[in-house]
Amino acid sequence: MSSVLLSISGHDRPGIVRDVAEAMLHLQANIEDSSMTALRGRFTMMLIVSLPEDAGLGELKAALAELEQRTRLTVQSQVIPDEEMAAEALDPDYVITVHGADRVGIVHAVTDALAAMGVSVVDLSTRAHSSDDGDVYMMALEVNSGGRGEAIQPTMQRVAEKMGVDIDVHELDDGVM
Amino acid sequence: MNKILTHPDERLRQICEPVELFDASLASLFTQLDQTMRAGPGGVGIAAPQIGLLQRMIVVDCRESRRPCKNNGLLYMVNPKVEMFEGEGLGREGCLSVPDWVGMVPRARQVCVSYQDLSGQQQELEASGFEARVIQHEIDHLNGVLFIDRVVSTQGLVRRLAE
Repeated sequence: MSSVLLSISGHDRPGIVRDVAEAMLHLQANIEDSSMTALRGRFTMMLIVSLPEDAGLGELKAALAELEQRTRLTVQSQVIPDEEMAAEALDPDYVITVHGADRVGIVHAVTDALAAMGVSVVDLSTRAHSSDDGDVYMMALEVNSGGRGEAIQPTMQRVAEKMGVDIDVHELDDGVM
Repeated sequence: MNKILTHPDERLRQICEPVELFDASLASLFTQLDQTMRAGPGGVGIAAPQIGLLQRMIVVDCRESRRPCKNNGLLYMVNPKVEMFEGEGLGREGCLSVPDWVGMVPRARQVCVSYQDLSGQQQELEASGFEARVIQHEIDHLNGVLFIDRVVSTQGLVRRLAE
């Protein structure tokens, strides 16, 4: 069974997910994990789909070409190795939120410091927002500390001072309730 | 040991009735709740509706939580009510009644809770951090609310920051 990552985007309108899901249904391909969101006026989708045993990549390519033609979506596909498909995404144990005046380099400063610590980003969203007080930048990261959680708060404090932004670090407790 | 009701069981969505009778059967119900909570790994709290008992009763015990935290020990709380919320923090929650799902939930960092003990005496306590989270999660159950109603995504967090 082949697993394929589809990266799809298009001018936002109702029915994009339906159109993609319909194309997958015709192939009898299963949508496994996915992440889809509207970024400004563009709808963006990343999905991992599994092809049925008897379907080849050729069939998928043909179906995707037809989808692009018909819907004006931009579609890219890439085969995912079994080893990646079998792996679970890391569990986040910290959430970091960043908030401040917009300027170039905020994402780099934060993620550079995290990477240097060996902290892995599991999920990240950003938004630039215009308000009466100027342009505001917001970012939320879910990270896996790899056991180096203690160092995150002081490191982020230094980044916050250097970049002139507010950074909050939340440790995520786990429990069954 | 009782069977745990799981989402989407309708009974998890009911508003539970206040307990009015403080007798020996109340203690025995708490024993059942306590045992059910401890039957699985990582259990730190349980609410009566999770075993189909639509009464305002919760058990909280953070002494054995995976990460050690400040706590008030084993708590059997009847008719609990949060009198004061303070601060906000994020944590990951899982629920016996929503198996195989964890989510990031914002909760007050500190709470002041009034409740009655097994003999009907009015009590009050302050809880913070993880224990405050567990208490809020369990009291939600008494009002038919599940943590999945309160989950925020990272996208949702950014949106909250923007507000």
